[in-house]
Amino acid sequence: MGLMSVVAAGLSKDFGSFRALEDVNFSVPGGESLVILGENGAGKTTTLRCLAGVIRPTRGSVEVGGISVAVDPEAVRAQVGLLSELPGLYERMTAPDYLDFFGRVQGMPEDRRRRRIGEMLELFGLDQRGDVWLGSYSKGMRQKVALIRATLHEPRVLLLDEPTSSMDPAGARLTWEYILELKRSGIAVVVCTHNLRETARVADRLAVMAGGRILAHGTLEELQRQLGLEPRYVTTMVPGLEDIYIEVMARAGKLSRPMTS
Amino acid sequence: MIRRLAGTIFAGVRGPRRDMVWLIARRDLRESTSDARLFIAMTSLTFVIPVVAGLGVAVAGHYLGPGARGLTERLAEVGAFFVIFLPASFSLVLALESFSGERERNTLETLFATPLRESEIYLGKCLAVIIPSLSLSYSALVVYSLAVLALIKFVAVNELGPLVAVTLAQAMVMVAGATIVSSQTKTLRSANVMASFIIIPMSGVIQAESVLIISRLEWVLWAVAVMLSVVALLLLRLGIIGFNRENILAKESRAPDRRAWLRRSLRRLPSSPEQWRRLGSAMLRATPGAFGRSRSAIAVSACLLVAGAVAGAIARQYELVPARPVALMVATKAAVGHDAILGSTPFFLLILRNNLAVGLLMVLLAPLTLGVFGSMATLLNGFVVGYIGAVFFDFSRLGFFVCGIAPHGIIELPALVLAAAFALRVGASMVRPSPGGWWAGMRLGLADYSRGALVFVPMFALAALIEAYVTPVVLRSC
Repeated sequence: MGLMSVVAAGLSKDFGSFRALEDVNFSVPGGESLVILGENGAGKTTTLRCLAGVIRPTRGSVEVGGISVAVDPEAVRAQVGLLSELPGLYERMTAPDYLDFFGRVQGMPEDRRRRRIGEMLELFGLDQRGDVWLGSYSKGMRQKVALIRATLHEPRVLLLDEPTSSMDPAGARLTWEYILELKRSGIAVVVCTHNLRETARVADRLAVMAGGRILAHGTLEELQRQLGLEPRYVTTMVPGLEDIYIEVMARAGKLSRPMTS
Repeated sequence: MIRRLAGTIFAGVRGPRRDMVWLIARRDLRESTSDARLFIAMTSLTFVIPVVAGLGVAVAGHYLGPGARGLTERLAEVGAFFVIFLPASFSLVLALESFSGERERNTLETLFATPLRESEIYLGKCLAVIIPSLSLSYSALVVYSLAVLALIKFVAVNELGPLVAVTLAQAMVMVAGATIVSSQTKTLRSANVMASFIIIPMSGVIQAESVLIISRLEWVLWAVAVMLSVVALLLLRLGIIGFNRENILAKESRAPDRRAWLRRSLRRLPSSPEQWRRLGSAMLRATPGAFGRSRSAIAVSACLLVAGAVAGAIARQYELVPARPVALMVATKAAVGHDAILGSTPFFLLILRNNLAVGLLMVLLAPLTLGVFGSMATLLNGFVVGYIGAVFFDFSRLGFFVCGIAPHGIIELPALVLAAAFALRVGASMVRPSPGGWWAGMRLGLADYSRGALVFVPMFALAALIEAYVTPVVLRSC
């Protein structure tokens, strides 16, 4: 699988008289990640939708693996996995049926579809709930199913909007590990989040957005240098809350798979 | 021909792939049949009501006796219409749920993030709605026909064909209308409220159809089926244009603040005579532009007037319309003459008020009826003129008819065409893609309507003056 990059150049998006994005520029090569930080309404979701080929830029360009969103959005959507903030699941379907439907939509052959669905459900600890409607799933479980849906067809670019907002700490850690694994395999990852703590674990580069513009962009070190901030190193003397929680769950045998961090 | 028709409907959008359409349709069908309560309600209504209706017809036949066999058979025909329509009405509920419901639950965005084309999602959903409701409708008709055959030994053979066709067209109109409503609303609740704009006109159509069945005018029912199919195809086209990622997700990103717009607009209203004068001259300057933008709508309205007149003449020629309503209308006119108000100011004001009310209703109802009300009014006026003209022609009194219509009609009918055309543009803005969205399109449509009113309102006034004072004099000399 060749590496695929995402490039936004002068990206602007207007909705009527409202300017949602203005002159957004960045590129994310395959195997790297960009985390977009920003308040509600900063333009993060609109940026992801433009990158995913769901909506077209008003000005500027977006290219995914050299394919322009304006020229062939269908081809772009085939290369991209988009996880929106709300999972958007069909409540009266089981997880295997739901994922099978999206596998078909993505044109996956049946044997590959079945293999991937089985593997992914097992990875996220959902294989025991295969005969239950998605409507009965918890918020975190729904988010996991949505993440599986977004990555089922092995996209070359992964776009994630608040991927762990509803998950418990163990689920969140598992998800971040999975995202890191995908990144290491050569996938370009763009993540939007409010969660600054999670950001440091996955971000190769950071972009801070407000009012549809990128205010700052670069690696953690570059941003610290630009802003004249001294690096702060925090030493944790006692296990963090997350570690305590995961340890308790692990000892009780309640984790779907062993955690490494 | 089907290929060409599909090409016209999908013009400007990427055509659907059959396998993807079926994939969406199958999933949606599964969704609608997986709700046990809905499924039981739909199937029981489909099979219980026809049997009950058949029993009702049999009981009525028994009560009326063998001497009233014709009446019993007529009742059986009307029953068939009642039975087939009920399940077809599910299509509206299912369509609103399929489009607005998915949007509300954010599952539509999930589909939008895949390589699926909008046309595939749209068609798949339409099929998933139409297939169950039509299957239930036709099953109900079969059950009813069998029940009636067993109970009173009668089958409404003549009505079966037009009923099947008209039900298909009705379901298509409701589904296509529901998709348009859904693309304009964000929640299922608001879509349900807006659905009354489909239900109310459809109720009118259904009442008219029941009259046609009672009158045994099956061929008119065929014509209604054709007309509804044309409307359905038009609505499908509009629905496909409106159903795109950009349009639907843009609405979620930013809804226009209409209250703020209204406040700003009210603040900008002229407050002095000088400002009013300036506004008036600015509107006059912009009027030719408004006519230029509306030329297609004016052409459509003019064609509808002519088509109505031709249809009226044909209806008279073949006696397709019962003469009583027309006779009543003529009698009312005569009564007005007896009251000796012809040639008086009250008569002038009455005519002017009526014409202005029609013009105003056209624009007020335009957003709700997509401008169809204005077009129907034009068509109906043309029909009445054509019908009465044909009546007078039959009695070799065409000259008298021309004397009674031409002096004011030559101004009034073009004014009506103009008012309907500007209202049609307001209605069309709801569904036609516009650079600034439907709201910007509607504002421009309303502004052009008020500019057009600078022309057609004086025309209405002049026509009313002529009708009140000149036409009676001309008529006396004819």
